[in-house]
Amino acid sequence: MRVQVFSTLRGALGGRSSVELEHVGTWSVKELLAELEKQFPGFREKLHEGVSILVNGRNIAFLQGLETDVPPDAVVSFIPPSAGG
Amino acid sequence: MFGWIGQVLRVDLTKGKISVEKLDSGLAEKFLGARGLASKILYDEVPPQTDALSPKNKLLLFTGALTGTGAISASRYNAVTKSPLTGTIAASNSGGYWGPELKFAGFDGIIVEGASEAPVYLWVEDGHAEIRSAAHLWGKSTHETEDILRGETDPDAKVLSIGPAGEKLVRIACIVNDKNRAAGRSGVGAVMGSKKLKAIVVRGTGGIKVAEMKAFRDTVLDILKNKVKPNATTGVGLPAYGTALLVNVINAHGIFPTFNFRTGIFERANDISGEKLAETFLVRKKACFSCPISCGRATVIPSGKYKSSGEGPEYEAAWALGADCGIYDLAAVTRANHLCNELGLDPISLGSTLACAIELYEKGYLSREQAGMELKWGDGEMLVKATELTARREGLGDLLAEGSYRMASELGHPELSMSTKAQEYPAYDPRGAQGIGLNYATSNRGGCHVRGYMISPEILGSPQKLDPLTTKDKAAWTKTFQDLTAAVDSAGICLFTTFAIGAPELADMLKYATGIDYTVERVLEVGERVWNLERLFNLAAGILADKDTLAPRLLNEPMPEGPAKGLVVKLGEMLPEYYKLRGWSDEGVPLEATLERLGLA
Repeated sequence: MRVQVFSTLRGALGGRSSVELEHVGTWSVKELLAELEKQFPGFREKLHEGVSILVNGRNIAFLQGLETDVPPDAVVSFIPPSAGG
Repeated sequence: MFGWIGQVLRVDLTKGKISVEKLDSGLAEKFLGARGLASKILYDEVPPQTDALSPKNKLLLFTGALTGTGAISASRYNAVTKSPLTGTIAASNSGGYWGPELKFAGFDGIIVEGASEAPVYLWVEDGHAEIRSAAHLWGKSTHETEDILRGETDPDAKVLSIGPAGEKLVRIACIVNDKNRAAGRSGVGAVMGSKKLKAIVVRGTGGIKVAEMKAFRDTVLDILKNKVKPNATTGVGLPAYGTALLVNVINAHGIFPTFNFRTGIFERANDISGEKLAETFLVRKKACFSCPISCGRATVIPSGKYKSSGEGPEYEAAWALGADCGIYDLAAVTRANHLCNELGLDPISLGSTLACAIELYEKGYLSREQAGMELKWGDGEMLVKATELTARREGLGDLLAEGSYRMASELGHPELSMSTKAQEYPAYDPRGAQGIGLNYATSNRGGCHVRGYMISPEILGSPQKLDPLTTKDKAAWTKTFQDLTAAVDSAGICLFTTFAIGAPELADMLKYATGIDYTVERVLEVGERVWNLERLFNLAAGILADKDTLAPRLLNEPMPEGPAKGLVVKLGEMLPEYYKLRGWSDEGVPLEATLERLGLA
């Protein structure tokens, strides 16, 4: 599984833009967050209001929220409020 | 008048005559200024069937009621004319410092009509104007032109000009001011070139009166302190990374058009991202007049074959010159973007037209002989060369200068042009964001995101989250976004403020600046009025409902991968509802009752 963070959230993964996590079976987003907090203490604290979480490109707001399944080969993106054009 | 100056400059280049006219206060109240007011004047004075590049077309450069007042991000002017690219009404919007300076010089706008026989520029200084020879400037870049003209006039003058692309009537030429800000879309630079008008130089030392100074100042400071600064987008993300922070975000959503919209995921997106730009060529951020957001990026490529300095790329340019052509060499993309500013080209249309040419070449519809060079995905050197050739209409550039739709049609394959009404789409694949597809199809200036930025609710979750893959409620949202945007553009503030503020704040600023009782309802009504007026112009120009559509690829070829895999744009589910909500007939024509309600009958 690949976890990626963008722009102002890079500090959450210790300055990295992505990390690979290995696990067997399917986690929920809630379980993934707990694992990330364990590996990168303070991770959850950095997810300020308005951060979107995508599982394979789909915002979990349109799936099952924090109960959304995260398969072992998923790409999970944490996106801070962004805009442009 | 308060907010507005109350004077307009009319310049007849055929006769070499300049006159000063009073601004019609009734029209100003109904249309606000900039995009709205200039569109009304164009509609009244230029028959919509007029050839866009003939002397009968007019070019209007208008500020808004708030431009230059100190309202939030109130830097904007609009270039309004009939577009030589789309045949529709064109309204291209730019920031920087030129717009406010025009008001400081005593004018809300300039109407340029006719055409000069020899190159000229216009010098405007504190209520006076004169036409001067630009023979020594013809062929020069926008940067050279600005430096020379400030030397000739006033070191503090603000300069708006065209580059070689506008002079050569390139249909995707833009107007550039303050060296790196551009009225970018719809070929407005070619109209200026057709009039042999190289530049407009402005110096003003006057001020702008607002009706209720204390209330206006308190409102602006309240918006700044409690809305714009604390907002994660306008207070943090855009200042830190500029608009190109969207590269990775949109790619993660699977709607980052790649290889001429053949897919929505670019494997090397991070290489052309705002984060990468910050690590490499970014020197500092840059702000327009009275803007606390500072999304502009001053960039320098310090060495190598692309050594140059300038601004950008912005998100759209990074995409068009990058992913859409399969290019991930950030130095080449940045250099090409610098060239677009210097030569006066719209990077969105240029990149998309080049991507179309590469696909035509790959499929054998454009020969090596016709192209004069090899075209292939991912070739940064090809990009830089094509940019220079296009601005001068040389070799391949003469084909690209026509825009993708004319080029692909000429070669027998218009379906490969990723455009609506002949204007190229920006950097969002609508198969994965259905609402932006409806906006592209109905935009009054063809393929465009800043007529109704549905990406905001569909992808960015602002002001609320809408599922991008469904069509539910998209017609109503699109209409609201289009109307609000038309009002924002007409007021003269930057659209980026709307990530932090909405119609209530805009109404308050307008009310205290002008002394007119603007409300949320009145502001949205102004926007709706402007939208319908633009539609009337287009219908009279022969651009009918059959043009409210999308490139066949987006309607018929399912997205091959990512979250929108298997989807096309379901335009047929949204368009009839959109027409109905607009108060238009099934044929997309505004009903008499709608026009009467908006004061357009």
